[in-house]
Amino acid sequence: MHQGAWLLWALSGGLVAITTTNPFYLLPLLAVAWVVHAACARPGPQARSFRIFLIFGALTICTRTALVLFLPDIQFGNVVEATLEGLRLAVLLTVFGAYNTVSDPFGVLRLSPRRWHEPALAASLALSIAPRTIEAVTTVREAQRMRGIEVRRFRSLTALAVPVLETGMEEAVVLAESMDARGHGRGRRTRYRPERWGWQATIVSVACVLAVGVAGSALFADDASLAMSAFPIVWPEVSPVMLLAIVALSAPAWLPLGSPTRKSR
Amino acid sequence: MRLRLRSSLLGVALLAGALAPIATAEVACAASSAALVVSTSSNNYTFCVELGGSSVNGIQLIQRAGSQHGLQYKLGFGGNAVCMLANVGASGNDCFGEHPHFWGYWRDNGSGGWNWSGTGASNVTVRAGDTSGWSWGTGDSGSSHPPPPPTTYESVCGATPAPDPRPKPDKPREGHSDGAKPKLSGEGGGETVTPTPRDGDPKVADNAEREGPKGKKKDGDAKGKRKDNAEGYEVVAPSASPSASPAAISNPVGATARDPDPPVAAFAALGLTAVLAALGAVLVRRRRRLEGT
Repeated sequence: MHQGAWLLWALSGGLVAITTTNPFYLLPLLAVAWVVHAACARPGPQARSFRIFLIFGALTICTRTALVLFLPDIQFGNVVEATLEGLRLAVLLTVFGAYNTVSDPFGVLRLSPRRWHEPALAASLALSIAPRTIEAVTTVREAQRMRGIEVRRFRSLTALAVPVLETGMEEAVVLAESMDARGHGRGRRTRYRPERWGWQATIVSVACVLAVGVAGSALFADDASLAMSAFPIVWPEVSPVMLLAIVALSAPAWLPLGSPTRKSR
Repeated sequence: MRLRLRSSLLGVALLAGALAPIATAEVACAASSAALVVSTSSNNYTFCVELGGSSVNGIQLIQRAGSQHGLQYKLGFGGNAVCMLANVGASGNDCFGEHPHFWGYWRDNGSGGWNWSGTGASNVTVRAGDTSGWSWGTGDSGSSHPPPPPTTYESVCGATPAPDPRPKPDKPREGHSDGAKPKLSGEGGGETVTPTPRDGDPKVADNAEREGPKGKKKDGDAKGKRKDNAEGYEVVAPSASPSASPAAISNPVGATARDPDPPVAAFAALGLTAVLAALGAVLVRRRRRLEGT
């Protein structure tokens, strides 16, 4: 699928996530991110970034909940509220993790108009730093294991960090050289095999716009179901329209996007 | 690797599980209470809020009044501002949506009068015996904002802060009221432990708490004391005999509480989550099989 559609998908998922603390919206959104990751992840080590982001999400929930301990007076509602806010952040992270596994960061870069090339390059490097680091860690670990170096979790951290950083530096240099060789920054640029905007991308975009529209209108209409009240704790309202909007975000999982396993880089 | 992931996830879950009880643990101390006055333009409500031995901030006082007495409220701006109290105020997330009307925060001056609080309620420490007031009106300072009616702590909470006859409820319960019915305290929400004054106390007798849920009747009396005792248990405070008419109490501020039943849509959402998660698992398994061959 077109990288622009993926970008739109990630943006929409994130926007829907930050509008609400209602767990009955957040949990389906989490499941949507998982399904999309499961169906569309590109093969390779970067597919693991989803898990990493999931772990980070769990840590976020714990941290946000633990922050409650600093309140002078803790009530159960405070804990619930903090956990839900943590959950919101965790869902945001998970959507981003799914985006990392399904998208090609340099494909995104190619989309940018020539004028905005530099900021787009910075953005795509920033976007891809997590999957690239994960990839580098995996490679270095494998190499160490093959050479009989014991891979422990904490003790070998320094032995791991140096090659990983070096790999990052090398990659940056290689990227800069390859861009230079392709004429970037000289005002002319050809598009090699431009990506096509297929009908799948259209459908996904429509679904994303719908989802954001529903969430946004609920936000501006002060929909009570978006926030869960913790004082007192009552069952939050759940609007079926909003649920449908969230499910619509799983559209990429159901569309034939071509076989990602056969695509080689 | 997968094992390691699982163990770390397990650790995270355990950590979360271990933190939750710590966070919810509340020390059951000797009782102490603070008075809270909520003055809308047409009504005046007073609450004797149990603090449970700890000092709270002005926002938490409202939260406690909500969990103990069913005061309806809505906070905004990260929980630091008061948008709505007793169904009066901004209903949205913008607490100044009704500007120039807003909820002004007042603190007692020790003799029944009020001082405008120059500090936000979340930064104010409320101790036992304090009286805090919220009044709805215009005016950005104490000179122009209408203060609540003069109120003393004793008029709200009785003669002295009385010891707590029952352990403090550790969590707010749902179902403080149902629909538009006046609150009859048989179910759910009656865990308040307000020390009640004697029967026939003129302060109580002439207040407006026997009015209907809409609270139309003007309650000029600042001593409109509220009692939410559940039927079947009477609060026995040393200085007070049990109230004789617990059922006649209305809850004018709790008229919009939601149905305590879990909505079907919430279960639908959970079911949806489960279905999507299962589908994802199936997809991942199929992909692994494809990649394996």
